[in-house]
Amino acid sequence: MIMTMLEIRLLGEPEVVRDGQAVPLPASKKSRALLAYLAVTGRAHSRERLCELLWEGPDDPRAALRWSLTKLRPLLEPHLVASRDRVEFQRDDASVDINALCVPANATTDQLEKCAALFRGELAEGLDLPSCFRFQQWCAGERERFRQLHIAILRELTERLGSDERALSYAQRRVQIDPFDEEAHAALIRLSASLGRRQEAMQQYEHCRGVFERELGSRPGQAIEDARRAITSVEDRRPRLSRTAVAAVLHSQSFVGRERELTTIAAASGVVLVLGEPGIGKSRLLEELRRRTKGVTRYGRAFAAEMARPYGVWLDALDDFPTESDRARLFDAVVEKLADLELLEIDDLQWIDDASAALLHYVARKTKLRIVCAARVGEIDDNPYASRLVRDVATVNIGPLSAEETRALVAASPDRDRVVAESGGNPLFALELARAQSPGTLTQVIASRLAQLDGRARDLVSWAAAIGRQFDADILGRATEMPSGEMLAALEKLERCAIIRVSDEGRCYDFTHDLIRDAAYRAISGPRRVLVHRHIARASQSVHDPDSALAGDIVRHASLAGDHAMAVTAAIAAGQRCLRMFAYSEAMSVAQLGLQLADSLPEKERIEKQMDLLDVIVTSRTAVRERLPFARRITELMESARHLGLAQTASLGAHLLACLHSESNDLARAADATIASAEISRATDPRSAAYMMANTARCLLFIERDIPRAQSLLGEVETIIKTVGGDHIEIPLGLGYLYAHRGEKELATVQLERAMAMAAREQDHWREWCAGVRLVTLALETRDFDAAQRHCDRLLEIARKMSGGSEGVRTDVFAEIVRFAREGEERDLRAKLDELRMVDSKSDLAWALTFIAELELERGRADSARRDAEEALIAAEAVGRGSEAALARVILDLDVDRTKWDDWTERARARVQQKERRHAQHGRRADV
Amino acid sequence: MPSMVVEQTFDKPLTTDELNAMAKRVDPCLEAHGARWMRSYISSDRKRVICEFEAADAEKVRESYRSAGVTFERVWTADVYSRDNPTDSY
Repeated sequence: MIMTMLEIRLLGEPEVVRDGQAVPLPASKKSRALLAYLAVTGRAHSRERLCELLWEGPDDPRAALRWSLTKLRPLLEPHLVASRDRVEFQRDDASVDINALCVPANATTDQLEKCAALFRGELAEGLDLPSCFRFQQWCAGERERFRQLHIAILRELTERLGSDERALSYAQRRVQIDPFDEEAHAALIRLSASLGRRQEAMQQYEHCRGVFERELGSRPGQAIEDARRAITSVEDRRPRLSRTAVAAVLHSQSFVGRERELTTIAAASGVVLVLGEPGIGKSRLLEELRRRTKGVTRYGRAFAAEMARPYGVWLDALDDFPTESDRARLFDAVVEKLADLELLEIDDLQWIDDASAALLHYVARKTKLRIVCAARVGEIDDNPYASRLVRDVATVNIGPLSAEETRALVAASPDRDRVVAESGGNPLFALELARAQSPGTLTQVIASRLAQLDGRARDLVSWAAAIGRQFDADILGRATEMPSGEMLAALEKLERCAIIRVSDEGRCYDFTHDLIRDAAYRAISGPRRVLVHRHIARASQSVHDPDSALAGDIVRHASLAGDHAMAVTAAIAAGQRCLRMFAYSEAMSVAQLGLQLADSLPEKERIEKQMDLLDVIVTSRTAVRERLPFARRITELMESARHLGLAQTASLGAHLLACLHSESNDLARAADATIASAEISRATDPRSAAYMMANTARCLLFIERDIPRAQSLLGEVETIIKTVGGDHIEIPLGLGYLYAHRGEKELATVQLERAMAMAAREQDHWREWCAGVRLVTLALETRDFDAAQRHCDRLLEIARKMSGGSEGVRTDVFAEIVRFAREGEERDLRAKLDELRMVDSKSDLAWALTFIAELELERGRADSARRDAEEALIAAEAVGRGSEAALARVILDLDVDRTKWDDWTERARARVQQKERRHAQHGRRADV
Repeated sequence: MPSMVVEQTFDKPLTTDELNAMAKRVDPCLEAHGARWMRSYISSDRKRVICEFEAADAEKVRESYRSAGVTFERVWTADVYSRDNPTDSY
């Protein structure tokens, strides 16, 4: 058997070398992230864990994992071992760079230098996946671990090597990766000075002061000042830098070749997808297409770093994105806006959000508009929305430029032969090689060009890269607090160097290419990134933003800065904004991210914020099966909220459960009933299912609608709580109302008393009062006036604690009815009934008047009984109270409509049946 | 359908998101009670809100607010006079 030698390099951009040959990695970022994770951890992981890490979401995560593993298998054979449940990278004789690192104190200087050479950048460089929270967290932790080791190695080396040119390069590296360590700066200043490089040492001192003052808001300490004094005591021995090293400026305005591709695009109808590797010239091709189009054109692009900015592509493409009351109208309004458009272009489709994709799909379906999209080959597979969108569209693949074309592109470069040979026909690479005048890979060339920047421009480029998308001078100014004159000068310099450019409409800036943005971002050290993101988050927060349009950006920057409280608050705002824009899956994603971030908040704040985020999730109209699993979380939070006395939060939770339940219930009634109910029982634990059902049932019983359904729901609730235990006010309250409805007085009393006790404990006055009222009416209906009096006294106490409602007036009416029933005298009864009419509580009025009419009949006052019954009938019919309407009709000796028989109380049914028997005896049949 | 008016006052100004969150909690209850939201007035200091509904009676609106745990000052039934519906008695 032939053994292949496998080498994996993770300290920097990941690389895989087999038998001395570098092999290309999968284009999918998630596949590369999986490789890094497996290689760094070096142990077995369950497939489930890997799915959670990288593919959390609505699509089929296990299939995505399988697909990624098939891409990795040829690279890692035979070290990748995957079974049905587990996946492992077995190192055996494979060489992985992180395993070659040694503890600095125990290593020889030679070994240390070898270790230092292994660091080509940070761990798994470029593999940032902000939408995969768990991976990002893991990655940040591991990066920090290896950064600390790197620092320790560099510190040891600088100390051991003393005044040596090699020591200087290690000291420079240390400052770069640990920019807030005074000791590192001081060591570099001293070393530069001791090597006779006074000017460099002074520049280093100034740079250090600038960084400390601007980003930490403090001056560097004594160590730095001491080091500065050391500079002045040495003589400058270093020759001045020659000016010939300054890069030649080449503009990317020239357009060469691609005639065949342009002809193909022009000939195609509908949507065309332009595919190619990064830097191959897709965006430039789109620009040329716009230039050649005579009519109106629009251009929008997606950004990798964008989070929860629904319709981001469209907001940029259209000057005035419409607002509408529902999604269908919104889409139609956009279609209308595009009426006179000749060409629509969407760039970087691999990063498009779901809402933008849905709208694009709609526009493509509804109009005959020419739409040209561009995407990176390979990476588009990572985005399910984008891949769905381009499944059946015409595709134009962009390949490398020919040697002549490349030569024409860099005609102004003195070095064009070398550029043509090295660039392999990638135009961005060719231009960068020509500008940098030094060899290397594309990313190395870009990085070395950025490293040549100095002063404000060097500073500013980091900030601009961290923003992650197009930016304007305002937000940059707020974040950096740089004087505007200096900032504009620096921006102009970056523009001259073709690092940034002004957008088409001239409103904002953007990097000339995403690869340049990536390189600039990678050059920022970990601790500095945290600070930069924090400043940008705060700057965005300070912008007047009534519509929370910046909330998604704040979530990203605050979470990268580790400010979870700010990120969570922004996630709520961003989620609500997504809901307003009908971007439901974005709302769901940002809320889920918020839920994870909120785990680290103090308990009370965590519970409140997480419930608000769950509100966003429940309200998002994504499929019910996606939302049902959150019922358990809501129930847990509700319990904690009650425990802490957060009544508002607990009440929101109850409402959310009710919404979820009623939706899932609708689903159960649909044709696929068995699947739906199986899903419900799978997705929620039995207790929360019981709470949800009791809540719906209680609501139905209050309004006397669909009582059979309420009854079957409560039947299920009883079975569940008998088996698994658990309690909630809604359960005894619902059961109490149901038993009272069925005339089962003892059972009803037990449950209603229980509900009252629970509600009193939880300070839920309204539910306590509702249970109490039913106890009063039940006692009156069964002619137990002593009990009615007792319950009424308690009710008066509860009503006193409530403000704003009608409970006071309604309680007084019941108290007067109890008095009237016991004593036979009206006293204040009529006056209180007038008040009840004033507060307009028709259900109570109907109940009160039928009950009074019955008492009057018993006491032989037929006329007033008739008057009261007439009014009761009107009130009952106005609010759909079937029982009271039937009772009133019985008193008035009218025919009874029995179509709602199932919803009537036992008392109403008994009276109707009694009437029917009486009429039958008199030879007359009641109308059925 | 009769018109109902809900009055609410708050100690601190309400944000649009808070107002929306409140509406979202009350709306399903109102719907279950057969009530319909017509319009709302929010004072410019955002501390006072008046909402108008159509419902069979005021209690339906109160019960929806109570059930959703949303506080209110008072709910009353209103006769509506407007430019389109003027009467002599007004």
